Amino acid sequence: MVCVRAVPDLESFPAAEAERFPAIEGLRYRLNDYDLFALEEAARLREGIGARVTVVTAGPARVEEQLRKAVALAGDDGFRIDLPESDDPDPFRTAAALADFARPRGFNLILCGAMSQDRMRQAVGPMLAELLGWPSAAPVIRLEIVGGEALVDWELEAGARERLALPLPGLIAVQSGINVPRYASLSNVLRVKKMKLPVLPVAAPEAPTRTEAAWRAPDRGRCEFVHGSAEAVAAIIAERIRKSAPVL
Amino acid sequence: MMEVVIAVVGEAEGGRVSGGSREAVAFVRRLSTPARVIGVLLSDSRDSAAFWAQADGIEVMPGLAPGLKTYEQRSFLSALIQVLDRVRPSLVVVPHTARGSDFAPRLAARLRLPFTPSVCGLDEGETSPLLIRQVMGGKVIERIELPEAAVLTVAPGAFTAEVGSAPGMVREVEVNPDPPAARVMGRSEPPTADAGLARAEVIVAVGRGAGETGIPLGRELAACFRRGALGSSRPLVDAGLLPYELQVGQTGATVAPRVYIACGISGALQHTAGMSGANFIVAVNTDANAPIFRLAHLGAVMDLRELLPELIERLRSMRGSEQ
Repeated sequence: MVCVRAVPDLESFPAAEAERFPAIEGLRYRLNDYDLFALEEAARLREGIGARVTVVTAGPARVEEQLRKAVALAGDDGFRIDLPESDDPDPFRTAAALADFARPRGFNLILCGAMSQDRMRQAVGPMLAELLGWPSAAPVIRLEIVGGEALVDWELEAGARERLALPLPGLIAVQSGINVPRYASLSNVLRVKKMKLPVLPVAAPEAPTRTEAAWRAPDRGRCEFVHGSAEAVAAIIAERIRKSAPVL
Repeated sequence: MMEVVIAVVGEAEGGRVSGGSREAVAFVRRLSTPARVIGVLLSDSRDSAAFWAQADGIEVMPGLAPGLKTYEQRSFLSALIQVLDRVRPSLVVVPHTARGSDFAPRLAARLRLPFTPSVCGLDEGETSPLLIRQVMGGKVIERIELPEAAVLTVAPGAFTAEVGSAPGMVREVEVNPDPPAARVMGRSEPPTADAGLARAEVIVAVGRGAGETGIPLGRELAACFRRGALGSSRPLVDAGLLPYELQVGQTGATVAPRVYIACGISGALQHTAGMSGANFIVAVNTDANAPIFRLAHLGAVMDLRELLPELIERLRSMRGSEQ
């Protein structure tokens, strides 16, 4: 099972309008980058050991486009759990919905991205594993399935890594750089285009785990902006660098 | 009124306690709620607990067991729950490290508590303090009302540890950790940072926005300086375009050159953690909202492919006239 998430496009996100999120007009969504690395690992397991891959997302109807893209990359099938937009900020609620989905289905391995680029919590994966009573490892930079175990390297501080043999079933949250994600082939895009992706209802919330959060644009900070032609800007920057340190 | 108890889960580090553990205590003190702060330390030795109790002037409850010498998720979590059952805290505060990010969300799920990770500041709210954290790659600030009970992690470097005024105290707790689920097979240290990077006075760092075509320009710009070096943020290293030895940030090198020129780097916390100590920071990025501009002293909102050739030419002519 691979868990994916649709996130607002980071580059075009209007920080100044952050307070109105998610009601910002014309907001574009795309697949979370980290999930692309998880999907690539799944695609390799599908080709390498013949794993069957199910892609799941929890979210409102707008996320179907990204789910379809994810299934085209690595999935045999895909499901959307109908989590309302208002519950999106609660990682426990998302994890609980995914756990309800996973429990009866007998998966051996769950892959997800190390974090979502919008909320940046690194929480849903470990919470999902906790609810299933499975071990988890995050963020993982190397993965190999050997004799019913997952051999993983997970990242510690300042680039150090630790190797673990994780019993399966288990959950692995994948870090960027573990692989180079592929593009979906045309035949796969066509395969998924007509595919029916079932929508499942979500159970009522179990516990008051939601926090009240508001978004705002950050303060401008101390930066002095230089404007003008490239030549004029270069002249000012060069002068200021020379003034700040005799480095030439 | 019932006394508020806040547990800080520390990390033992060779007979002492990690800086992050003490920063987490500093965060709790800034909450300005009268609370009893209890440090929880799971390890195989007593020394760290005594050190921490004295350094921060808090009560430390170490859970000691031979199996806790190295961190393993299942053993650690079971021992932690045993200690927390005794402490009965409303808030559990954890340093946001690799290990903290591994167990804290699981702890929150097990205890059915709200979870707020990587808190990097505090604001005053109307009824409760507001926790500040970065979202959207640092482009947006999220403010969260501090719940009555929750699990939080505190970003490294966000709060400054202070010497405790009260005498500390250590109360040992007996724990029986569950057997480990995973086998820990060993640890590997990263290759040392590039020697040029470590002693550079000027670092020209390239990021996702620079792409493959921006790398030669960055290298050329670095060569304009007497002790210049090329650095990188994570995406170009992940993509295999530059070696790990050039990576600056949380998972790479920490540098503090006189001048840092960030080219096409958005400036998320993961990168700035490794370079915020630079004396003079110049940022070039096409996105005026990129968080790197909050840290930079001087900024240009433009394509580095246009700016860098001009800058290289300018610096070369200045260098020529100085010699």
